[in-house]
Amino acid sequence: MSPLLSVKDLRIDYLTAGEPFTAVRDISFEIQPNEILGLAGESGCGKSTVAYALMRLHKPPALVRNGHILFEGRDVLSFGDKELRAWRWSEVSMVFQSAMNSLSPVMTIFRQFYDMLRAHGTVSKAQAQERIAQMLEMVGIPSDRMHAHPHQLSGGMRQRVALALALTLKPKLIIMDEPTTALDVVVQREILQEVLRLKDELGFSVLFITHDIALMAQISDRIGIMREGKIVEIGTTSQIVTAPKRDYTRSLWDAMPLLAQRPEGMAHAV
Amino acid sequence: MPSDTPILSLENLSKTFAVRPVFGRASAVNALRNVSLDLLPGRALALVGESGSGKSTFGKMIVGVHAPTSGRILFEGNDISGMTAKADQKRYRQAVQMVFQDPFSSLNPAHTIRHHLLRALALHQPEADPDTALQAILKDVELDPASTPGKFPHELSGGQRQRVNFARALAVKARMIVADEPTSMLDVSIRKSVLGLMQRLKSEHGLSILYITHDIATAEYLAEDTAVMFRGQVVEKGPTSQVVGNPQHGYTKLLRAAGPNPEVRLTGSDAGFAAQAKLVREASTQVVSALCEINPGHFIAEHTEMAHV
Ligand SMILES: Nc1ncnc2c1ncn2[C@@H]1O[C@H](COP(=O)(O)OP(=O)(O)OP(=O)(O)O)[C@@H](O)[C@H]1O
Ligand SMILES: Nc1ncnc2c1ncn2[C@@H]1O[C@H](COP(=O)(O)OP(=O)(O)OP(=O)(O)O)[C@@H](O)[C@H]1O
Ligand SMILES: [Mg+2]
Ligand SMILES: [Mg+2]
Repeated sequence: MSPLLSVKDLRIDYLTAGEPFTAVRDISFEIQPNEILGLAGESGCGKSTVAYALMRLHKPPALVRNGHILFEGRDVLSFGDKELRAWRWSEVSMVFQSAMNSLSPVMTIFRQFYDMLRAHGTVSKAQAQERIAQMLEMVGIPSDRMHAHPHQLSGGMRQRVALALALTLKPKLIIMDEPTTALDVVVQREILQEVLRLKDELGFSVLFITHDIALMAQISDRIGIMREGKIVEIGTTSQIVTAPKRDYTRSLWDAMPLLAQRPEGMAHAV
Repeated sequence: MPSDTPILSLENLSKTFAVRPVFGRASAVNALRNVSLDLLPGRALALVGESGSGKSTFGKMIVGVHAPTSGRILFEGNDISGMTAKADQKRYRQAVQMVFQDPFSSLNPAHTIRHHLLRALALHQPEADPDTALQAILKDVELDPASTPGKFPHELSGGQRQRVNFARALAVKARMIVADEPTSMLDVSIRKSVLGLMQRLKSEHGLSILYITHDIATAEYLAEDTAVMFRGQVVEKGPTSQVVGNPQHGYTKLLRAAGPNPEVRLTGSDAGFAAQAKLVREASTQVVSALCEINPGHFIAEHTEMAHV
């Protein structure tokens, strides 16, 4: 099977007043169709920098110095503006680390979905309304909230809207940068199960970035471990969890806060 | 609950927001429904619960961003809506400080850390020597007093920025902090150190903390008391050791059981969890008719019967 996404020797610098700072150091990896690749690593190791570059959303002072990004064999770094606009959101979408970066504060939720839908095909207002209602209900938000502005939603509701937006056009790859940090664990689990159900149905791939490695192990097919701009280890989830090759990977597991005693089953939860 | 006088009492608070679409009829969102809670001096109360259950609304009403639709907020026994004298209002605004989830949003990108803190110091501690006070406060929150003042917010990591926000609360001599998910955007190691800082502010400075979070494990670490919210109501409250260690309300049990377990793979075909969650939600969303004390200080909600459709 040929990979959906293939990243080769990607190097990204931030131009600063002094020496440029190399945030991503010649990393290579692939994502297969219908695969979830987890990307873990401590704060500042370069995860979001990679995510932005994959979407071609990196802006100065970030500069891609070296390497290739191939999406279904097409060279993403050489896309022209028109090609880029058609590709982004419909073939690859992103949930940003801060939900406020995904949403415009001055437009209603309806408007943000509607603009995206219209930019990628003709759709009537009524059709849009129906689709938006469906997407919001999927992430547990009452559909009449589509008329709200972002500040009228809770932090976790905004994050869920960002996730729904990224799924709407049924892209082939969804980059999720810390997509559930604002959610309680019940809603988090329901939504991730919904994402997995949709993935089974539609066959998309996910790049899943999180600092919650327990969660990452629950959802990823393979996991890459990043440190100081490099991928130090990449392998299947079971290999990374049970037989990590690097001490650094093991130290991430050791740092994981262990939940205190788990309450026995949920049999009498009601 | 112990008999100390609360620093803050929230009595029967309700908040209803009206949402007006461009077309069609306005609808009402009942963000809080008749909630009562006490915060004791020098202690931390964790407020946990479902996304959208009203936790931030609660915090925002305390710091005066929203006015309650009904109910009262008492600061050391005085109703804050009755504080008409400018001096009283100023004293309250200074005593109660808020720290937000997003450490990026709360600092002005155009100003250095020195500027942020000196401004707070000048307003609230005019008698102190600014530079000495600045150094002391930075040390207190474990930031390098030599290199930090000249930096701009974007030159600090998320954890460092959050420390600056706590430093600002110290600069204004706050007595109580409302911290709304202060660590959820930080990674595990940094999260621990920020929690350690809050613990110290509480034990060494006697600050009271309302700690809003969805991370129950951190509530266990920091907070003596925990209240669990669901759809605008408190469904369980009491000593953290009991609420978290031995949850009794169906929603709290669900929340305890749903935490990520690396040994269990999530799948799209597991309908069991969603079905269970739906049942618990339906039961928990009914009006709380009484809070029942099942152990000293440990209360769980009794709900009115589900309406039969
Ligand atoms: N605009 C910028 N200018 C200079 N350096 C930057 C800029 N943005 C990020 N960096 C640096 O690049 C490195 C990688 O940052 P990045 O945001 O990709 O990390 P991350 O792995 O996503 O971290 P986190 O888990 O905290 O989100 C960090 O050292 C950061 O300080
Ligand atoms: N300004 C507002 N206008 C209208 N509705 C609002 C406003 N602020 C909050 N709400 C609504 O009130 C409810 C409670 O929101 P709140 O932000 O308090 O939730 P929360 O418990 O903090 O959730 P989260 O964990 O997701 O942050 C939500 O349904 C939200 O949409
Ligand atoms: Mg990041
Ligand atoms: Mg909130």
